Amino acid sequence: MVITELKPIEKIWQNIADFRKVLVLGCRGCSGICSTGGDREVKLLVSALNLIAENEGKNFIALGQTLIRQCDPVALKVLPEFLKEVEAVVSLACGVGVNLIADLYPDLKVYPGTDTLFIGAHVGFGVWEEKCRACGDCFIDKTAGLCPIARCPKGLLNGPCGGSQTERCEVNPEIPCVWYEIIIRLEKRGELASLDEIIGPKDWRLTFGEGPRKRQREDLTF
Amino acid sequence: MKGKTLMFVCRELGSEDGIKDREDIVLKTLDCAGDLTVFEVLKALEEGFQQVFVVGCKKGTCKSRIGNLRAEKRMATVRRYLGKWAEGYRLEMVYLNKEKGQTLLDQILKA
Ligand code: SF4
Ligand code: SF4
Repeated sequence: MVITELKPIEKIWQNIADFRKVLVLGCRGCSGICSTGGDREVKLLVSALNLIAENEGKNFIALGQTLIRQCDPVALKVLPEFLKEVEAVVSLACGVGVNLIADLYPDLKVYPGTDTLFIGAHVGFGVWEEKCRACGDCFIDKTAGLCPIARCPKGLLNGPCGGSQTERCEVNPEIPCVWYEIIIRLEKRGELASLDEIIGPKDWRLTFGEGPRKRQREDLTF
Repeated sequence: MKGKTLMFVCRELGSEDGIKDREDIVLKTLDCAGDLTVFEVLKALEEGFQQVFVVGCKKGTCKSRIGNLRAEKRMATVRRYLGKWAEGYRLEMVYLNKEKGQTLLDQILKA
């Protein structure tokens, strides 16, 4: 999922302090699941913003709504229903949600309420870790399912660096050396030979593209 | 203490001694300090309380093991949601042992 984090409240307030009615818009997708922007967090932010407004002596009211997702025009169709007299929206979705709202409702002032951090997994209560950088050409069939682009600070494709000494990463001893883990696992799986094949330079155009990347499924489009 | 005060107190810590006569203090008893929600605290501030105390059992003695620690984290979350504006309020987590000979209020204020 896409991992997000609530922006510092001062930054959120800065964008909306001069409005009188603001909608805090949550997302029950990734952002809700990682406890940044679901129903509960919308309620908290609405309450906090109303309190801050009171402290600042502003004629201001925040309202809250949460959508099933913000990264899909179908889910965003209902948004106009919530916009009566609303002057701005603070989205608690990831940046994708904010962008799509801005695309679909160009006259609406929408501001991000979160920072979008990475694509990751929930690895322990309240802990998320990056697992994939969406490079566009996945090769982790060769690396026992572990991604060295996301999990090795040097992004090495063909084995560990010289600093890999103690099963920990030399750049960041807090994390295991993912190449150590890859080799141990490949060995256990009887697939060590997959490392004989040199992985050539990656085509980073698939990652960074020329502008936004796009995927179109011919079987689904007319 | 200035302004209205709300005290969320774990049931294990006993009675309303010393609190029920104070017009400026409202007491809410919780089955465990860990039952406290971030929303309740924000709501209390919206309702005009200037000070919110959460009173849980001493570390290591919570009957739900970490209910008291959870309460402390929830108070930290309240502060995070309020940022610099949290400084305008008194938001306290207090850890207490049940003690004889002192009212609950005295213990809270001394802690
Ligand atoms: S190789 Fe690319 S697509 Fe595969 S997990 Fe790593 S970053 Fe993601
Ligand atoms: S120690 Fe391992 S994970 Fe760290 S930079 Fe070197 S190869 Fe990558």
